[in-house]
Amino acid sequence: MKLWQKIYMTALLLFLPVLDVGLFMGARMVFDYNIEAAKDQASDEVHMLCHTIVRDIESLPGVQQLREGIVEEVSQTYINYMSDKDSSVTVEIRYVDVSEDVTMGQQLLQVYMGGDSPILYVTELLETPYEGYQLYYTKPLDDFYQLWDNLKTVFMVISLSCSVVLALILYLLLYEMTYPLHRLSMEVERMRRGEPWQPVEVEGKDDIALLTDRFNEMAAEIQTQLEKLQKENEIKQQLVDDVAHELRTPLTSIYGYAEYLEKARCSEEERLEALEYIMMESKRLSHMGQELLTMAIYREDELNREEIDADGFVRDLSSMLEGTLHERRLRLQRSVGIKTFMGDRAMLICLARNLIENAARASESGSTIQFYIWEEGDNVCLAVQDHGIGMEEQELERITDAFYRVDKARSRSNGGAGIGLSLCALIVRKHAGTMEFESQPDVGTTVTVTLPKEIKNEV
Amino acid sequence: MARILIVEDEKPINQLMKQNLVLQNHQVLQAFDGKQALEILDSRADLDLVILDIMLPYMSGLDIIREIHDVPVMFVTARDGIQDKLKGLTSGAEDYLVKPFDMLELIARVNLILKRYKKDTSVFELAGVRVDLVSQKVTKDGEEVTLTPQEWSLLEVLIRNVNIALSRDRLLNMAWGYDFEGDARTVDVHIVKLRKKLGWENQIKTLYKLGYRLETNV
Repeated sequence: MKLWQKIYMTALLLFLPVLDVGLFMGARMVFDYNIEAAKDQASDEVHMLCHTIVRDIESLPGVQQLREGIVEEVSQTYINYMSDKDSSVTVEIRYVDVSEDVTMGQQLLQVYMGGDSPILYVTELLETPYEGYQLYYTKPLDDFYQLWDNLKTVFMVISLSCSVVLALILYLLLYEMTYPLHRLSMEVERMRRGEPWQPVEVEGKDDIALLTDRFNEMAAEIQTQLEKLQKENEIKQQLVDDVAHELRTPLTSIYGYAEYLEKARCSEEERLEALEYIMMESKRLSHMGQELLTMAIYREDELNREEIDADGFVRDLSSMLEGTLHERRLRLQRSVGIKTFMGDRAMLICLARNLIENAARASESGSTIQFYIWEEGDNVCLAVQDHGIGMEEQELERITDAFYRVDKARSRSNGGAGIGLSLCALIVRKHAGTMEFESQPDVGTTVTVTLPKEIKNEV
Repeated sequence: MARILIVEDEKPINQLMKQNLVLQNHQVLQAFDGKQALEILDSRADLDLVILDIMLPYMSGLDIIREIHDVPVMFVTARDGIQDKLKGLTSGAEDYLVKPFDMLELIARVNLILKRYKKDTSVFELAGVRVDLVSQKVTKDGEEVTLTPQEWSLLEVLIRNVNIALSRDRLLNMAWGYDFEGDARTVDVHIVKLRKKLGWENQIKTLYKLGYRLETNV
């Protein structure tokens, strides 16, 4: 059962009995009052009658007073009078000598059932010296019970109509009041089915409005997170596809040449060429695996920040790159503007090495690559500048994607595996820094890495 | 013998495909990027087949295929998603080969396309033997040689995969199908018969542990 229905049922169950009992008691009180009033009136009348009859007889001349039947005679006038006043009333006066039910000076008043309806019965003895006479007063209470029956009908009608009106009003009121809750629940259901969240309108400032407001905020947050997750997922899927593709290419060569060696009759020259390709592609495969592994490790790793001696850093870097640079007859020009800086030494070495290796791949042999470290406000900057082939603008946007190559044919023949720059981007992100590329085709490329000296929240 | 253009930016793979096709006596041209491919396509009108990689520098294979008319195209790519395949095939390519591929698969697919375009070899000549692959007539030094249907099937497989070693199992399946009841010995028996009938004692080589190979340059 819904909340509003619960409230509705509870309110009705509580309210209707109270209403009914109240109405019933009110009617009952009216009825009782009427009966009491009738009793009082009857009692007063009987008493008055007894008194008046005796007074009337006493006021007669002495002889008359002793006449036989004088009491009945005097009484008759009053009895007639009473009957005229209220035809339902019967008054009688009888000589009883000794009364069976009342004593002198007392009055008996009772209601008994006579036939179908209750009858009010009042009796009293006349005053001395006529105490042998008893006055009987009876009055059927039909009217009152009739009234009671009418009251009951009226009560039923009022109770019923009140109940209906109340139920109706309560229903509309509760439904209207809890409608925002219903709407919210529908929207949540829609969202559960995977449809995008439509912000629910907020009216007023009650609990429901507050809840709706919070829900709107929560849904918006969930939606953003979901979109972010989806995007990340797509990127990951892309990466997996790329890895699969990149693994297949050297595998095709390795398998193909091995098969060729097995199945074809080849000359010594062909044999050597095939073997060379197999070895070269195996090396490429292993290199790729290594880079992927490094990337995976760095992605998980905590940053190990330490103070790095800038000169030592550059010295180590140069000795690592010596082989590559010498092979291509490239010169590395270094310019170090600071003594120390903070960062993860192993990662930053990897970063700088990758950037310089990329620069070397893009450069014509014999040219110069510049490497700078300097301070700029709260940041430390590293830059690598080459005078090589450069890149087009649209190529710059995708450059840090894993496996993206500006010029596939050329960079492959130079041994790149296509993961270097995305590894660099990862390292820079870990240091909460930025990496910018400036490039022009056939002029060269400058990569500038800006690292903040202090990291507030390590990523 | 057909003229085939291979467009593939990976030099080792390009070279590999070339060598495989040269074994089949095809004439092969190589291009390593989109620009080069278009240059060759513009200058040569006598191509029988283009083998095209999809991801290429400068121009993708899907761009290049739009410039190709009248020549069948086979895509060779490492992308094996169903979407990629559909894209390749709906762009007008005859076939789609996924890397890494088997040598025999490449040759079989190339042969199929060439056959469809009636550009496959119809006559094969070796050491005085002339085999007409269309009319299924074999002559040795001008005299007709009669072959049983089983011998003919085996001969055809050997010719279609000339210069490539084929295992006994492979030969069994390729010549007579998977339902054929027989074992490696059946192949040996038929090879002996073919050698004798055609005088190809040296041309059909027995390779230790590998099987047999029909060689053109003995």
